[in-house]
Amino acid sequence: MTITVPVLLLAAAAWQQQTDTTVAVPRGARLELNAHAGAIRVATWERNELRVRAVHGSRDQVTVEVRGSVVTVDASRRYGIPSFVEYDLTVPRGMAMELGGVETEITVEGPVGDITASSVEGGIAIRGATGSVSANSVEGDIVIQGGTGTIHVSGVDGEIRVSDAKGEVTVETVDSDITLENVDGTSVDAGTVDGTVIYRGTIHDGGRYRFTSHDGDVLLEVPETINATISVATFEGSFEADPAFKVQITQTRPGKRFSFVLGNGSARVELESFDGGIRLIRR
Amino acid sequence: MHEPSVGALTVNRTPAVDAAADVALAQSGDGHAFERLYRGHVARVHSLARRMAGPDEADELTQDAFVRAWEKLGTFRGEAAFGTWLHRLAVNLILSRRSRMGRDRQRFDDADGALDLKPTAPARPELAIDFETAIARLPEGAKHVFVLHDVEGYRHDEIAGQMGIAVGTSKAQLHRARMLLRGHLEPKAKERGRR
Amino acid sequence: MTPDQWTARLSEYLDGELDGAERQALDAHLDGCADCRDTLAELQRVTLRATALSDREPAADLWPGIAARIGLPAATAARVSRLAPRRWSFTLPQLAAAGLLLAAVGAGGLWLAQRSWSPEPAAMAREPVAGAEGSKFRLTRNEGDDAYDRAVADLERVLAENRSRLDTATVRVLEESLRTIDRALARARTALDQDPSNSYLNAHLAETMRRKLDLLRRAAALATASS
Repeated sequence: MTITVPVLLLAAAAWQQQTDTTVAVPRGARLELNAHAGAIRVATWERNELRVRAVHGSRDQVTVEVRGSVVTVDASRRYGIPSFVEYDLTVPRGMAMELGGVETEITVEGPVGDITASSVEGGIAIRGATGSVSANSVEGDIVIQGGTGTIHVSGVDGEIRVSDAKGEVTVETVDSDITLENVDGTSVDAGTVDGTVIYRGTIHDGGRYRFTSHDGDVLLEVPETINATISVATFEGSFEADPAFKVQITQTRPGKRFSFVLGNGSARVELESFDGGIRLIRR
Repeated sequence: MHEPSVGALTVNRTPAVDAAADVALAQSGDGHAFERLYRGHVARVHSLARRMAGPDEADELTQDAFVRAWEKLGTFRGEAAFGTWLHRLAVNLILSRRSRMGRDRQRFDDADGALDLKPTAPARPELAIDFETAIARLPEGAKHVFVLHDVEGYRHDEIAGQMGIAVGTSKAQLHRARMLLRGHLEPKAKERGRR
Repeated sequence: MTPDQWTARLSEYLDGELDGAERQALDAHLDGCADCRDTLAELQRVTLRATALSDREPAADLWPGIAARIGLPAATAARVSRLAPRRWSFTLPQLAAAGLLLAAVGAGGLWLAQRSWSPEPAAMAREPVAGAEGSKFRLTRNEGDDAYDRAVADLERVLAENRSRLDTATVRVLEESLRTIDRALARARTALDQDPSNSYLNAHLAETMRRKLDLLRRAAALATASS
């Protein structure tokens, strides 16, 4: 990056420039960044400093302000909204943050703390977070890898994939699939309207799990040794369980809701699809 | 930014959220906290009482259960969920009342009450009794074991211990109840109109 | 074994309480006995039905009696609300007045209720319907539907007035997703007409309605925030 900057500056001196600022941040500080159009990329390091590199139009100004325990990064221009800004931030490990944008692609890699990321038109990828994660976008895929605590993802039209997360997981979207992979959820609620929901994760004793779709399939891939009371509901869909689960009821009539017990029935699992296939697959 | 979405709330046999804070407060004498616990658990306790002892005694048994829970709150150590502890207490109370009241009558009557041994689907569905009513008409021993095992999820060894019967008897009573209930699975005819 | 002796072991078989040899023997018997297979299926349905029973509160409030016996004042404190907590704080003036109460309940005791704006928990219009299997409340659809329709209409108007502020791609995505939800709603309503007391359908419809409202709110918030 440092090598290409001069090239960029030379090639686009008239309309593009780069800001590169590093500030000390107090321990436990929270970062707030609201972009309009562009990209936000965040990585971590071991220093108690925040480095902001931004590529933006020459009429835009990028400022970094530390007030108490909040660090605000902002782009502004005297008249109108800033044009396309590309942020590259390096933050202290464990820093909490709130990132937002409209036409903004957000990518976070590294052990950040609690994070909230929202975009309208733009994908979100958060990898390695150590705290709670909240991500929402309208148009754009959302990929969460890692995260501990409360994981909340809300999309409208973009694939959602959550993996290696732990805690209470809520995922909701309308027009796309949800895949939860290697999720250690104590409570999980994942639902879509027109898409598939796949859960490959832990079913904890006493946990609560709910996987729903309207038009799509719901797949639960778990070991046959789980302890769960599984409740299945569908209107025009179907239900199938791997023989290893020894479930003798199969859905015979439309509109049936039925449940069965695996092990000691400790966890509560709800599998619902109006029209899709509900499958219990052995891992 | 966004509170997690909640979706449909299932009241269907899900224990109320265990408010550990309310338990602690109630233990120190906070009546409002105990009322909150009451509100959160009354549906389950009352339903248990109704199924085990019938609708006429359910209200009184429910009140007795909560009064006893208040009296014994000091013994709750939090080793299980409060709902589980309360439920066990209610089961014990209901069973002990039954044995007091039932001393004059046979405990496990062999009479089959109003249920046929070999039920078949009724010719006119609107005359069919619903499932809960069918449970209420089971012979007492079979009814208690069925409610405790299939509805409430206790194991045979636990039921046998609480009821003072052999495990084999518990299993036999359960089987008997299930066989009698087979023909009463169809739901009652739908209500005509809603107002 | 006589037929009755086989039948007598079916419950234990179902509950996984037979040991290896007994289980194998019954497995072998079931392979050749349709009657026993039917009975087993029936027994299983009974157990499943038992797990699906829902709990119901007593018709009368028993708390005053309890409070009196343990020496507490009977005046009830703020009732514990079992409604979902408020999930949004959308402040459009048109919506501030619209209390939204959606209570859809059918047999089996599933219900979804949401209430916005007022700190008091909703006085849910409910009557335990005696005798109907497991059902607790009757549908209060008329009241809920009106409020819902008003809220949807308000939001759609806001969106229409402000959509030029949104990127055309965003508008397209939002509209497509709204159409997806509307299709799902139409199918759920049709299904419910055929099977009105189906608890799953009731809950599914209510949830899909909530999703639509949620999406509209998000869209309207985006539209009015873009400046």
